[in-house]
Amino acid sequence: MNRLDLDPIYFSSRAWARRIRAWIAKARAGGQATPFLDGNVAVMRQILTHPDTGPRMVINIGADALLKFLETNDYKNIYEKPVVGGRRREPTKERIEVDRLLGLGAAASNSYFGAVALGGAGVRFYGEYCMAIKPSRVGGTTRLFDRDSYDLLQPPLAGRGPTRTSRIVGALCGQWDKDLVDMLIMKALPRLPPAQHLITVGNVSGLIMSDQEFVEVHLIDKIGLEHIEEIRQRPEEAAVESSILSRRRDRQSPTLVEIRWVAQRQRVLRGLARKGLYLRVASLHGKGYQWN
Amino acid sequence: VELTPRWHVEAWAVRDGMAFASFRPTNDIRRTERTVFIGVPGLEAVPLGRVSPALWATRVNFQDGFHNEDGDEIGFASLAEVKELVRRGYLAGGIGPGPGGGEGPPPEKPPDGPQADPIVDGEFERLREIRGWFRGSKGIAELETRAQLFGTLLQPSACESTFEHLRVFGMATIRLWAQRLRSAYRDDEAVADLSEWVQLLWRAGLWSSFRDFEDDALRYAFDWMGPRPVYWQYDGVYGVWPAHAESLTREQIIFRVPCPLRHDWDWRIQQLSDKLLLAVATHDYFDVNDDLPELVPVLLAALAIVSQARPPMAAPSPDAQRERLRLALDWLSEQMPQLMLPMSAEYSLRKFAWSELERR
Repeated sequence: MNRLDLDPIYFSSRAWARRIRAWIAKARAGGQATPFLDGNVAVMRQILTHPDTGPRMVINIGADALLKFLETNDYKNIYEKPVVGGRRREPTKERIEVDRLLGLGAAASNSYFGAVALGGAGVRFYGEYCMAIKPSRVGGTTRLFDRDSYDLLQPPLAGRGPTRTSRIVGALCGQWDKDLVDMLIMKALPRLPPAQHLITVGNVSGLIMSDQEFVEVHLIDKIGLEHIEEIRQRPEEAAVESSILSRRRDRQSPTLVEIRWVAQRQRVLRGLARKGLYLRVASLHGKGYQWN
Repeated sequence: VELTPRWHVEAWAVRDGMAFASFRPTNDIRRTERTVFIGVPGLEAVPLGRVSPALWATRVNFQDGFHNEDGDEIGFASLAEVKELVRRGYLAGGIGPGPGGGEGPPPEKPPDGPQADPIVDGEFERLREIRGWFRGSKGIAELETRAQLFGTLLQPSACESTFEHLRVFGMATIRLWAQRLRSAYRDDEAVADLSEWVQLLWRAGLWSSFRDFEDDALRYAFDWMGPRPVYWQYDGVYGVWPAHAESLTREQIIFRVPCPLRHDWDWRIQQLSDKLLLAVATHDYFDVNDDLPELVPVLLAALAIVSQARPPMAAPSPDAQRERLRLALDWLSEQMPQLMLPMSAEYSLRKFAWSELERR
């Protein structure tokens, strides 16, 4: 790969743990005092390695799709041609291309994609409900990718030729059991400002995932309701619902979209209760971010 | 291939009301100038800065793109059009019970033939002579035509006639619901749902006196039970409502109200919400259903919804009824099509909306 445009440490082929050490060494060589950088790496490692409260694979899902999943216990990927919007879907040419670049091969049709999250409610763009998968379902060799794999199709990663692209893909991959913690720390380091304080668990949660920025998980196993640890949603959803209802108290009728949206949320609540699944309201990890 | 950039849907979760759209030439993702996310309930556009999150969405429950019958991408002139598409697609997705089964009375087995309510048919026939003023609702997907028709409905004699139709249809919903409760398993919750609907129709001003309401609605709704529910055993209206009737989300009752059918209505329509959602999600519903009785279920749903946010009428006078109808029409107009989309998009929306009835 062209070392002049991509960071030679971040995009190195070395193990993720060695990249962290190289990053800290570079900071030290650049004259940065590193006690708090060292300390923050230690804090992140301690937070991320706790089995009960550590990172989870999460999948966001909308209300209708979640209700369908609750009804059928059959979560599909696109290669299984689920019915979406009234007709059977096929993988797009972009998806086939990305999966080829990732080297998924025959596993593509059996791969279920998610993200890594430490608390929080996942990637809102893909649905207001965030399904946290039980760690026991995520095998140790489950593959991770440092970012949205579709970034491979657009600058600055796109257009580098097969060999260099393959190297980039190799550099950005990891495995759940041996690389997860180091990948997450490495992802956080470039965005960690020089600090004179130790960071909090809420900071770590936000550094690992924010908006559409996340570490991708490629799970090669079907997901059933029995593999769901809990369902999470963001406090903002509860706030929006409350806002709709409070306008009504002021004699403003909700729109039909709002009525359907609130009705779907209530159906989800009932559906989850029937299946014994817990719905938790959380924005990030850390006590200050939990609503219940 | 269209080279001029337009808005295109990259990924769309139709029934969940979420979509990603990009401004780019047709079929050319590499020349994407900007990408946004649009989601219910607010439908505001959130800029993303890159197209990859939109493409990633097809790894989960989003369909890729939006194409016409020939497989060509459909382009939109403005973001407002994309929002309108997402909004109406989401509303169409509410037709039918959706996943998890229906709410309220269980849907009946598809009948051998249309199961019309002969009373509704007969009553609407009887009222034919008092709706000579009604010139048809063809074309009311268009704002100006809609404003003209809705203005006509508010004329005093038209309003009185419209309320007569609404009362006929409202009573038919009560009879049908009570009949289903009588013939199927029932519990407190099912009876309370019907109570809530009966109460709401009273609040909407369908009856001019409580005596008429009691003779008409309450008798049909509950007398089959023997003693009426205890919360209906007192004279007067205030102070006797069950706690659930004061809950803050009752507009959704339209998803539970069974819809009586006329002889020529689609027998797959089960809930009142089906009628309302078909009418607001598609551009030509009233072009082919242009008589007043076809408008009445939609008006009844609108009247019920606006009445949720308002107290019962102290005196259901013609003026009070007209004011309530005005509120219902204003609300309904805002839910109906706000923009005409490209015809291929309108066609797809109509096809999707009607196909949702098949999901039962």
